[in-house]
Amino acid sequence: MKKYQQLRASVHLPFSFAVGATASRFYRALRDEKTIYGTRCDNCQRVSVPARSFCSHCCKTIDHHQTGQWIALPEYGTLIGWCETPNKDGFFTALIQLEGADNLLLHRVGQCDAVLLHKGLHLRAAWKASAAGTITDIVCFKPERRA
Amino acid sequence: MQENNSEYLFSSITMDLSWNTDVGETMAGFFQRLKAERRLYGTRCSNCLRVYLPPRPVCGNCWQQMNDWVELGEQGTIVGKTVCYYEILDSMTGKPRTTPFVLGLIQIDGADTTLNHFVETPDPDHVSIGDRVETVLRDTLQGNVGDIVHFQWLGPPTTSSQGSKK
Ligand SMILES: [Zn+2]
Ligand SMILES: [Zn+2]
Repeated sequence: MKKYQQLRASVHLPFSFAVGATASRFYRALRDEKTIYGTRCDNCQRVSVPARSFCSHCCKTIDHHQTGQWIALPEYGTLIGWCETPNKDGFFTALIQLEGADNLLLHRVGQCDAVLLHKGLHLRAAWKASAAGTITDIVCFKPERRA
Repeated sequence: MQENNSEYLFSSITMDLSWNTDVGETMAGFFQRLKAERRLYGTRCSNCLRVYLPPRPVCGNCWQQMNDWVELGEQGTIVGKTVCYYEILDSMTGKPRTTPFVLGLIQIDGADTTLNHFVETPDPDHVSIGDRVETVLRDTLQGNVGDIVHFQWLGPPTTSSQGSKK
């Protein structure tokens, strides 16, 4: 096959965005309380994680000031799905069912042998020592033996 | 119980994207000629004689394959322009380009089509359609799109500067 000239190109895109009132409260709780919060919809009672400003099932607004609708979820759950190809940092993108939540949390699993991964694996959040108020304050979810 | 903390957070992300593109036979011919001769070349249709810059492999009018390369002039004419006041990322550097700057559609002498490129000028508001520009190439050519730095604005046409026009 004939080989043609190649062009190399690269762009560096730095940006920053305001995450908004609801996600700010969610991230502050990760940073200050090491707690994962979900929100419960008054109408359908579904619990979404991460916390959201509205119910994605019935579109009802969830007030981020109302503590009652904010549910502290446990930091453990089960592995539902994952991407077999590891990310550059060695983690696997994964969908995790936290206990008490009605949807799946998109995060990553790791700090384990890839062959261990299977549906229903029990996982626990591994926290970063110096929290910064971002989703990566949880380094990953790590397999754990059920007590 | 109310939650009244009003500390709002920002998420900062930096993406570094790099990629390779095969430029194809026609653009490779253009870059190789540019690098070897410091000249812009276009392709000419042997049927309708239209000259394409950037070069294309097939004539848009006749659907005929083009194999003739034509040496083009160093100067050209502005046939369209816009003065930009909004900072955009310069695709050459990935950094914001200082405003105001001028983007022009430039018809190089000998070509029938136009190039979209930066027009370098001390006075963006006085750039007019019909003004003449000169190609500025970087000192050490690498055989890629970055070789054309910009087009230097020369001013309104004079009789001598239009001498090389087809
Ligand atoms: Zn609902
Ligand atoms: Zn033609």
